[in-house]
Amino acid sequence: MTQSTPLGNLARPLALTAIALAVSAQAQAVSFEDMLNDHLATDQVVTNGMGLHGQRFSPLTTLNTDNVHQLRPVWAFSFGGEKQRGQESQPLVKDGVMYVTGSYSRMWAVDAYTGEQIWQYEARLPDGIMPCCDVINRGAAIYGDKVYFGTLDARLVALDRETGRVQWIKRVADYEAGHAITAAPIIIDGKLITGVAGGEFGVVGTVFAFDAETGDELWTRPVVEGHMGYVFENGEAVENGITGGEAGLSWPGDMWQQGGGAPWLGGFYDADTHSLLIGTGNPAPWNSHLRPGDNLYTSSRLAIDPDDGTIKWHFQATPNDGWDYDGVNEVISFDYEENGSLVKAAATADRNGFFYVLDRENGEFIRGFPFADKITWADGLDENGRPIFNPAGRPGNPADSEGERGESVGAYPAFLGAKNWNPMAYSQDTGLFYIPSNEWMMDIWNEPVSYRKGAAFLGAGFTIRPTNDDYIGVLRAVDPRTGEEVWRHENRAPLWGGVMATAGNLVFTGTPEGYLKAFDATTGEELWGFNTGSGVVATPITWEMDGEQYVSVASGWGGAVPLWGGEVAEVIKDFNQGGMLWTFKLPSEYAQQ
Amino acid sequence: MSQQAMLWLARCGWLALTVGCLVASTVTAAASIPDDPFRSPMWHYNLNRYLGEEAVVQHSDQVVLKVPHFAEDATQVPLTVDLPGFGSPVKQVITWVDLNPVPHLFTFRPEATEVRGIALNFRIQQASTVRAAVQDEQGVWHIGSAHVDAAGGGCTAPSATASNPDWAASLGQMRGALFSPVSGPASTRLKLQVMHPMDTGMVGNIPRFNIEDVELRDAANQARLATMSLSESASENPLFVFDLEHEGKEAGLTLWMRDNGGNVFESHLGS
Repeated sequence: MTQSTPLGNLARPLALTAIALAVSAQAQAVSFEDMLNDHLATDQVVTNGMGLHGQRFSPLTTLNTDNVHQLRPVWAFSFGGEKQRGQESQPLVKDGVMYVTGSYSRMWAVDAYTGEQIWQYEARLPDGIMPCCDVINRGAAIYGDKVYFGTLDARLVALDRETGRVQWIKRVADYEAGHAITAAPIIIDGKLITGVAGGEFGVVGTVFAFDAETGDELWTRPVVEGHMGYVFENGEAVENGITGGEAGLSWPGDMWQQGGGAPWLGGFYDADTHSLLIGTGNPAPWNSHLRPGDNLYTSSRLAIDPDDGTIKWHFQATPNDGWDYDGVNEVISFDYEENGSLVKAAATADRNGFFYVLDRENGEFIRGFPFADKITWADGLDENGRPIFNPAGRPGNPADSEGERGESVGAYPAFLGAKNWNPMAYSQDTGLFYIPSNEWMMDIWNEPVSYRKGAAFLGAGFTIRPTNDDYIGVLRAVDPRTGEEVWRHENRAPLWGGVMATAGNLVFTGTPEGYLKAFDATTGEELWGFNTGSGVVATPITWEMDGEQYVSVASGWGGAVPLWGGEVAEVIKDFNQGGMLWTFKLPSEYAQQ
Repeated sequence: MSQQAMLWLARCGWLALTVGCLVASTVTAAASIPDDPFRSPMWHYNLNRYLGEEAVVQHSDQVVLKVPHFAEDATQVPLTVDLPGFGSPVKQVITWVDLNPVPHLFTFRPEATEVRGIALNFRIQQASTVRAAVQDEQGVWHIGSAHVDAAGGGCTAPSATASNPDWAASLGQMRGALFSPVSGPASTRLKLQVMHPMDTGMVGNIPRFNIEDVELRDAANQARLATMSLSESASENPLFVFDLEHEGKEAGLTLWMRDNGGNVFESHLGS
């Protein structure tokens, strides 16, 4: 069971252009072909997700279960200043240089051998930025001679890889309306594609594509039914169809106009179907009684044509979402064999507690199952993957109650999700997904609300509580064919960092307690740990240089949990902030053990 | 310094240049550097850094550098370089503040216009000598110097912008106009102020954020007339004044600016 290589897709004319560029340009230029091969290459990490499909699986076996105990730090790099907030970035590595982003919209280029800084870029942010969930950034994109990332004031910046000098900067959306960019943008065929955050402020979630070289806008695709998408021809916006066909099909009245659905986590690329696979956020406001209907395409997964932004298919995990289950979680392409035939699937683990396996050619539901221990808002999924709602699990309508507040319910999981932004990994060797998840619940109730630009548009109150006394975080190994939980590792604090798997039968993830840990991918046995001095809520990478295997991860406690975690504060209140990039390697003398 | 001493220095410089041309490799440029009448410890170092090791340098009263004796506000010190009697086309004008952490203020290079004066406010970190070096057609540098007394701190004090939560709303706002000075119909004075914090990066937790590149263009065909590069010594909300020998009033002028954050600001003045 292996992922088919995307090389078959190189017959596409645009991909051929990328090859021609790579030949003619200087050797260091990163081509689209480099990205298509990133999951196979061992000497680079040039995509968020360690491969455009986001599997986060390295074919390297130098570091493995037998020698991981010899993994040791070789350098650490400080992000500096007093801006030590959550660090959720995944680094990129190319030609011995590491590119990493940090809190407050900063980026550094660092010598990957020594940790010595080559340049740094600090965005001058306006005071009025409105990130809902800490001033974090999740990483960069690299293409040609530039590196790219999104800022908290909703702009995209293109920097020269060698000097850090700004090549262009583009305002994507209005930060004063609540927009921000925290996800890593993705490059597809020379197009730089990003979503925006802002679902808590009633913005309309939109996906944007720009020419990576010039910064010229190429297309926009709102993800809420009723809004017009555009392609740009010679600077002119040309209508390219209303999302969902027309307004008002799954929304009452004019509620679609501030519908939310922010695709704040960005997407991954499936070369087989030439699709951007991207999740969309929660509908606005949170009070679902104000918007009866499915509220398409919020809390959904979309396949978008990266050439013009057309939506190819959608799968909605939580129709009429009333719990902020959002729906942005990563959609990871993977192939598996069943009854002798190859299934081109995509998997996603939702904040709502269910794991979904979809046909990535048409979005059809193959199977789904709970991965969280307890789910109260739905009794299960029907044959199309639609939740079988539990009416008692939905917070009450304020109109049915005395006073302003609707009836409160205790809902499992909490709105921070059975799994949040932090990406899972898929091992092509074990065939398992490794899901960083949390066991917590919330009390949630609805309140009246009306839209005002730039103000929180929630219409709900809530507080989060841990489900168990001794743990919240659960790293799970799950079989996507059966739903079986093969192993689990429990952690006292909630898991908020991404996961990486390797062909060395290893799984890595970080903990808010400060550890980067390695586990046996087959058994879940904890094999190695190193305390980085602050919580690890970022995603590790691995690569090799000069025959030695390296592992890097950013360290720095923060993110949404300290801001929104309610009763979880008891567990996390004494965690200290940070801002360091740690790099480890297995010295060559231990590689043969 | 007396007028005669200046003249002597000028002749000395010219002689050095001649000798330098005749026996190029045997005469070191250092020999042609005159003493600094202000005895600044940074005199030779900054000449080397900004004009190069081979520069031919002379003091000149044709470069009239006007600064106040004392800077009441160390973040906004007015500076004017007047070149009304400069006897040669100007190749470039470089100014610096000897004892600032980043001494360089600006480098101005005319391409298709003649410059007769430049004014720009600067920051001062401590009492310092200020220099304006003007290169003539032969490549000789003519230096005007002045001393500013100051309480200091102008480079490391937070900008007024930094304490204004609405600063992003006014970023890049410009006001300016073209004027016809009394010196004649062939001359144009451009005066333009742009709202920009011009943060030096030397204040804690405020990254460097300043306009680096400026271009003067003919508004009609966007042909470049002059370029200017700015450094951290430039003041917040810079007010640019250029006296040009150019029929700018007729065609109109464009002032184009780009900061290190990649923001571009542009203003069209005149017709």
